[in-house]
Amino acid sequence: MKGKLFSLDSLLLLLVFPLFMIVYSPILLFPNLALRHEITTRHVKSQLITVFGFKGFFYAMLPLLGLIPYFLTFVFLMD
Amino acid sequence: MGLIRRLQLSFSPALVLFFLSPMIAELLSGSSPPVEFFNPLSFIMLISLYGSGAIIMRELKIRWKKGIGSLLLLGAAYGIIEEGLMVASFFNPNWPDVGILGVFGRWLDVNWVWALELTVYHAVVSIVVPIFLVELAYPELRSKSWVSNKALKFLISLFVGVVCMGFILVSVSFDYWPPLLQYVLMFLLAVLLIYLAYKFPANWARVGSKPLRSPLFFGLISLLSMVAGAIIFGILPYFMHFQFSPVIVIFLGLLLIFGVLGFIRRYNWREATDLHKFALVAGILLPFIAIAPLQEFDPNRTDNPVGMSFVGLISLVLLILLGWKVKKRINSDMRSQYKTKFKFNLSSSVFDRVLCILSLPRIMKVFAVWFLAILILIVHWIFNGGANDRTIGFSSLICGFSSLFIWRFRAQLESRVNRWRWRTKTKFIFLGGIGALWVEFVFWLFERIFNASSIAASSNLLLDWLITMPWYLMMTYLLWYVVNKYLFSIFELLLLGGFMSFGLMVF
Repeated sequence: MKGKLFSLDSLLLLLVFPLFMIVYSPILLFPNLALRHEITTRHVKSQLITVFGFKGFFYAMLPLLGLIPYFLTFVFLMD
Repeated sequence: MGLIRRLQLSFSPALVLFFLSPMIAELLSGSSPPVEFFNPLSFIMLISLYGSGAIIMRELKIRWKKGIGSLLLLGAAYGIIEEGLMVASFFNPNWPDVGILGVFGRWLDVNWVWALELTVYHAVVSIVVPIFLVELAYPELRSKSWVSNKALKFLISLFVGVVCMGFILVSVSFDYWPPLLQYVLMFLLAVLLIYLAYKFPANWARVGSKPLRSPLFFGLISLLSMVAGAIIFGILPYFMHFQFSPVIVIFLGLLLIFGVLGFIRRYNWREATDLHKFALVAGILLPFIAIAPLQEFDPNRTDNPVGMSFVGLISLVLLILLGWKVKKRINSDMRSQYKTKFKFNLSSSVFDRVLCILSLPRIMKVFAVWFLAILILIVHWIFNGGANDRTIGFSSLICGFSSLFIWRFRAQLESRVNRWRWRTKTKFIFLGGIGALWVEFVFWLFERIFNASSIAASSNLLLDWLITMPWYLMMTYLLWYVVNKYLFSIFELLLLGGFMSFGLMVF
């Protein structure tokens, strides 16, 4: 994984980063825009702790853990 | 900038205005070059006259709750008091600065072209410009009075005293006493202008409805107006020698003044930022800054213009610093506005959005260019690429348009989703899942249409969904926890999506 991340291909992929943003935009915008008031209300009502900054950046990467089931499915199907 | 902040704490805006007005009107314009300006006697005289005049006019505007229209009228009254009543240059054909205008346009012992030029000059350059500059530097004190009643009374006394003393000194030294009737009429005109300023509507400049143009546009308008004014009053009189030519010059001058005011007033100044005001002022000052070095090396000057280049340079540096400060403040305001509007309060107009994009931080502007380059690449793929490139190009465009569609109909979407009696978390994961199903479908569809390969996880749509959905659902599920921790702006959400997609691709 580490080797691949730093390969030339990965760097080339980084150049088209806005393309990735466009592709995943419906997945992220759809629930967030449809529920914006409900989410805001939850923040206001429950005084949720807001995490951001450098620490928050890694925190926001949490959904990447979702790759684990994808990986398992992929391995299972490939076998 | 820290130095400026410290200076602001040390000096009151009134004190800054007290020195700034004579520095612009006399020093920067070259009327009184450094050697003359910093002569102790003339220095005290000039700051007492211009400084107290500018503060009084601003105080009247604030205390009467008036706008820029009244300030211009008060400025014109100031011009008449200084040039007509104090130094009597409106009447004296041999006044040192009057030049050809002591003959050209002289009628009934009044230098009419000169009088019009100087009235407008003082209204704009001596009064409005310094006040605008100080108000831009002290935005939090803009609508407040800067001096106490006691200080105002002192300044009025100082102003009247300097005008009276100046009148006697100038008249004696030039051995010229103005014609009584014209002098009294000029005094009455100044009083009338002050009365008109009192009666003038406060919102005179804020009734336009035309969408506001960029600050640069207004900067160019004021710059060109200054150049046009210099041509009309400074050059035309030397070339027009036929009968009634002064009437034409006066007509052109009035046409320029009222034309520019009318033109600017058509725009919706209620939407204006400080950058617009700064641009207007900078456009007026830039010609003075540009000609300052030329004045120093002008062999025809009879006075000593040494140091004018330095004055121009310092003025330019200070103007840039102020512009930088204003821009920084606007950017910061826009950023917070942008965050509020583009987070979960999306009721902004198209104009606001464009303004927000223009006011983005530099890094965001770079990103916008990067984004544009990718859009061009997508178009290139669609028209010139192979099957796979076309599939990715078309699919990406459809995904992008889908997001725009969601954005456009977000209110309707929200009201519909609100009716569902599910838990917010369930709705969130469900909607995220629907979005993922759509994205996968789009890629699968275009792969089939263009006969491409290895784009979708499987050529069978159901199998494709079966393979990819666990990832998407898990991702949306985890995203739910993240959005509960941090309220993302739209851009941050898009960025997050980009990282997730990139993570998947790398994987």
